Formats: sequence, C-alpha cells, structure tokens
Amino acid sequence: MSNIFKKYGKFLGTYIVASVVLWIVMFIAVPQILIIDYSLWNYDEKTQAKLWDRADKMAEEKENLEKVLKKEPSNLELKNRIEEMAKEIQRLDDMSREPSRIYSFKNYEYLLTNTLHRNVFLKTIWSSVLVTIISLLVCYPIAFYLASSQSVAKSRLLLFAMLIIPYWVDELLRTFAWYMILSESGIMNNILIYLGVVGEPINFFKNNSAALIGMVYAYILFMLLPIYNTLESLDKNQILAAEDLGASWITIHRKIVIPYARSAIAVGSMFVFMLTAGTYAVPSILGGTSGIWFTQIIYSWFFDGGNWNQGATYGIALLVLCISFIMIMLKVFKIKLEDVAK
Amino acid sequence: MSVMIKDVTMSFGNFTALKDIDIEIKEGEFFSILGPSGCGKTTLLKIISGFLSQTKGEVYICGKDVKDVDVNKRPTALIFQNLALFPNLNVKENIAFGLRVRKMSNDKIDSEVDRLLKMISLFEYKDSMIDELSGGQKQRVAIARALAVKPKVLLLDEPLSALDLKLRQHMRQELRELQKLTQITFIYITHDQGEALSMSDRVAVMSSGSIEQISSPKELYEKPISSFVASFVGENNEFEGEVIERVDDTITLVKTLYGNFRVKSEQGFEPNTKVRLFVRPERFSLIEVGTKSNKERENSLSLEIKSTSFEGSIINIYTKRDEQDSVKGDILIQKKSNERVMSKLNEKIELFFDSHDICIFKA
Repeated sequence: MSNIFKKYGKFLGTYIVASVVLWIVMFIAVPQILIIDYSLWNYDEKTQAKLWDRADKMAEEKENLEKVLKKEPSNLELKNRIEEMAKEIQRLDDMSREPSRIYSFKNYEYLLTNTLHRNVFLKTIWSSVLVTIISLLVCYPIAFYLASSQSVAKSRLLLFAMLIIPYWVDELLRTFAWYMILSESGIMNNILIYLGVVGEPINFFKNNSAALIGMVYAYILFMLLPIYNTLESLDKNQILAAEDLGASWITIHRKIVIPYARSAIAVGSMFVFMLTAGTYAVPSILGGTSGIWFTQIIYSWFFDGGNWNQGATYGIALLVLCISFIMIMLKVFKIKLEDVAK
Repeated sequence: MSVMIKDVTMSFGNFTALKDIDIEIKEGEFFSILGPSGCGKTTLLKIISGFLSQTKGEVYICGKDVKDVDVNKRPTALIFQNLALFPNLNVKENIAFGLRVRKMSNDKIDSEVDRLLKMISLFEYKDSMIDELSGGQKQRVAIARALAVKPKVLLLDEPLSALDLKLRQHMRQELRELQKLTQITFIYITHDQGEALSMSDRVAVMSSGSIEQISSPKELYEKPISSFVASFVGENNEFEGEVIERVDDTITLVKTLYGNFRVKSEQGFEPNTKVRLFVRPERFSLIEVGTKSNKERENSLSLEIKSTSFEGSIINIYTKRDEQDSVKGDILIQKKSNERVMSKLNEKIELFFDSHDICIFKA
C-alpha cells in the first residue's frame, strides 16, 4: 500500500486505493452477499397468516361492539374498549406487513425437488455445453486460418471486419435479425424450400435450433479472439517440423496446435458457456414457446412470482454452475487460474 | 549419390530465387551451402525437404525423383534455425514424436529414445521440459529428434546461429563427430564461413541464386574461382590493378597503386586488362627495419598503420589505403601475437608477399 503512495503520490494514490476498494465492496462483495443472504431466508408466512386471522377476528368483534355502541352511545367503557381494539388491529396489521424472516435451506430444497425447474436447469446446462462445442468447432478452423495465413494482410483485415462489425450493433437487434432470417417465411426457409431440402417451412423456434444458432452467433467472438490470439503466437516452424517428421495434418493439430491453444480454448469455452447460460434476450426472442431458459425462470421469480428469495436462490445456482464449469475446464485442460488471467 | 540436384530453378513471380542449380552430394558427406543472406540457400533447403517445389529441374534423393513425395514422406529431416522444438512435450516425447507418428510400438520407441538420449548425453534430462534446457542442450534434442526418424539426409538450417561463440565452436565439433558416427548425409546451411570451413567435407558457395564454387574447404580458401568467393570466404584484401604484361607462362605483372605485383596464374591476361587482386591477411610478411630494402624484393609494399587489435593468438593490423584507391576499407594484416610486431600508430611498415599468395580475377 505504501508503495502505491510512494509511486503515484498522495492524490493519485488515494484515488487508486479508493477506486479499488469501491470496486471490491460495491461491485463484488455487496451484491453477492445480498443475493446469498436473500437466498437463505423466507418470510414467516404462518405467523403472518395467524396475525391476519387475529386482526380479522378482532375487526369482526369490533364491528359488533360498534353496533352495540350505537344503541347506547353513553357507554364510555365500551367506547374506550373499541378504541383499544382499533389500536390493536393497527398493531397486528403493521406486524403482518413486516413479517419476520426465517433462515433455512428451504429455497434450495425447492429447486432440487421441483422437477420442472430442475429439468430446465439441466437443459440449460446441456444446451450451453452444446453451444460452446459448436462455437469451438466453428471458431477453431477460422482462428487457425486467420493466424497462419501469412498472405495478404488485406484479406485478413476484411475477414476481421466482417466478423467484428456486426458486434457494433446491439445484441438484441442482432437477435431480432436472426428471428427474421429463421421465421417461417424468412430467408432460411425460402432457401431450403427453393433448394428442395424441405417441402414445408421448418419451425426453427419450436425445436430450439433457432435459440442455439442465435447463441452461437451472439457469443462466437468470445471464442474466436482468444484462440486466434494464441495461435498467432505459435511458432509456425513447429508445424513445419512436425510435418517434416512425418506427421499428418490431424496429428499436427492433435499433438501440436491444440495443446498449444489449450488455455485459449478453455478461456473461450468459459466465456461462451457463461454468457450462454446467463443470457436472457436470445431465448426470449428465439426460444419460441417451448424454449424456457433458466434465466427466464429467475426473471419470473423476481418480476412475476414476486418471490425474490427463490429468485436469489436460482441466481446462486447459476453462479455455482458457472464456477463449476470453470473448475472443470481448468482440470480438463490442466491449466492454472493464473494462466487464464494472462 | 545421396542427393542430386539437377538444373533446379525456383521463381517467385518475377523474382528468380534459384537459377540452374546443379549439386551432387555423396552419401555420408558433410556438405555445406554457404552464402550471404538472401542468396537462396534456405530456398534450396526447402526444396530438398519438400516445403517448396521447384519451378524447374529435378531433385533426387537416394536415386529417386522426389517431385511427388510430400514433406512427411521424404527421407529427410530438417533442423530449423530456431529448432522448433515442441514446448508442450518433454525431452523424451520430443524425440519420440516422429516415432509415434510412425505408429512404432512403445517398447521400441522407449529403447530407441533411450539410445538417442545416451548418444546426445542427455539421458538424465529425459523428463525435463524444453524450457528447462540450455541452448546447447536444446540443440542436441533437436538433432536427436531429427535422427530418431532415421533420415537418409539431415538438413540443418543455420542451427548454431542462436548460440554464443564458445558453445558454437563446441557444437561444431559435436556435429562433426555425430555425422561421422551416424554416417548420415548432412546438408548444412550457413552464412558463417567459419562453420562451413571447419565442419564440411565440401562446401558450395552461393551468391544471388547461383552456385559460385563447390570444393573442399581448403581449396575454397586457397583457390577461389571468383572474386565473390575470394571476398566472401575468409578475410581478404582486395586491390585493383591493370595488367602490364605476361612475364612468362605462370607469372603476370600487374600495376597497382601500391606498386607492381607479380602474380602467379595459369590464366593469361592481355596487357591493359583491368583486374582485381586478393591477398589473405596472414600471407603478408614483415620486412624488419635495416634488412634488405623494399625495392629488392618482389611484391613489396609500404603501408601506414591505422590501428591494431589484439585477438589473443593473433594480432590484427589495420593499415591505410591510398587516397586514390576506390576500394573501401582498411588493408588487414594478421600476425601471430608471439611474433614481434612493430605497432606504432601512423608509422610505415614494409611488407611483402609471395607471388602465389595472390589471386587474380578479371574485373
């Protein structure tokens, strides 16, 4: 810490330290702690119901007494009693409005036991893995070609422009573009019918393929760029040497190029998986009626179901899923977290 | 014949990188291709190894035309300038790479790799990663990796250029011994004439896409056949001159700015022909003060010392050229450092050389 002040002076040093602290506290610690806290409690609804019950009964009693009071307006004792009852009803009302919190793992139990939600969760994992694999299969050859083509820099630039410029447009708009392409009277169906591949237009939205295509498209750059970046630094002589030693193309990739790019592949996969598992817009637009994504359930807990605690629990589940995926990738590709940070 | 290159021409668009190259390399020969950078020697190597295919001509390896043989099927192995070892594999797996590709059984691979590791004396390093090795050790791993596939011809593309001087000299010797041991044909590409001369059985000197001379190192040094070879191979002092007359069958008299030189040459030159002369720096002899005067010796000249540098076993004396001389650079004279050399700066020294220690070429 004192080093920072020595290096940057009082003013700049304070600024740096303050922004780091602010970052950690406001953007990392507070939201996570809040969500974890939310996921661990529920309002005490039973007590709340009892309070409501008591308030109702008391209100009924009060009404009866008020009728009596009308008949004998001079009964002061009765009047005081009714006033006291009104206060008590108010108190019970207030209490029921702020029910106490009960801490438990009930929310987590609910996620595990609700088969519908559990299946959506599993489907989200599976589809995200699928999207990650498709992205990898699409990106690897492109990245390798881009990195190893020493030829005209212009054509490489052009390809990059073609890949990157669409990303200047918002994700939502790009997704809508795919909605138009894949719709029943869209370009894709027209082409397929024209070529005679299919007779009837395909409903891409029904069988989830639209959502998968949309997700691959939305996050493909996050796979491409790390792999390209790494492969560009690969000593091309290693490929030539392997070839010279008798290796076929497949062997060269399997033994030389892919091992070299493994940390980039892991990083790209993590990006794509996390973005896909956490996307809301793409499945909402391209998912059709059947394409429920786990994020959509979280959304509905917060905004439709009004159960923030259950929503927070589901959010934590998604977080745990992503962390587990990172751990698995690190293990599978035998890399350290420090390498990824590079 | 191990490798025969016949009439090979290589063009890239309008640029001709190699022109009508003819080389025959014997089996088990240590053959060097020496030339300045950009002379086409690496292109030639790539053609032999199969990374490039020639525009014209044929390449035969062990008597077989290899035009349609792919890189990974040729009986050659290439050692790259930067070695191109595989950093994700350890020493053992690097060496085993070519064998695994050939689907050899694990037992065979193990014994073969062990044999090679012992040969390059790196047995205890077999589990090390490449990054953990020193420059010389990496060098040896690269050689073992190439030798593992039992090539008929080993191609080496300036593999020593990244090493420091001491190690480079040591590796020269090691490479030479390895070549003798394995009896494999080595084709060694270099721009370093010291490497070419010290290791090779024969050397081909290349310049701008053509072969200038192919001969043994000694012959190359002593009997260069062109002024390019004379100036490129080893240190040489150039003089411009004009033929005065042919004294007899072997001696030609040439006029230079430094006096008239008698040059031994079987080739006859007409009077008034412009010529270029070369004298090696170590072929000058000093005339001690007070002995025979300058005029009485043939091929004598008197030069002013500009600077000297002590190099351990030898001493370099740089002397000034005549102001009218159009050749640039100093005239270098080398003497053994145990000889008594008068080395006062700006003083004149008297020198002479033998008439067969001077080479003559038409300008």
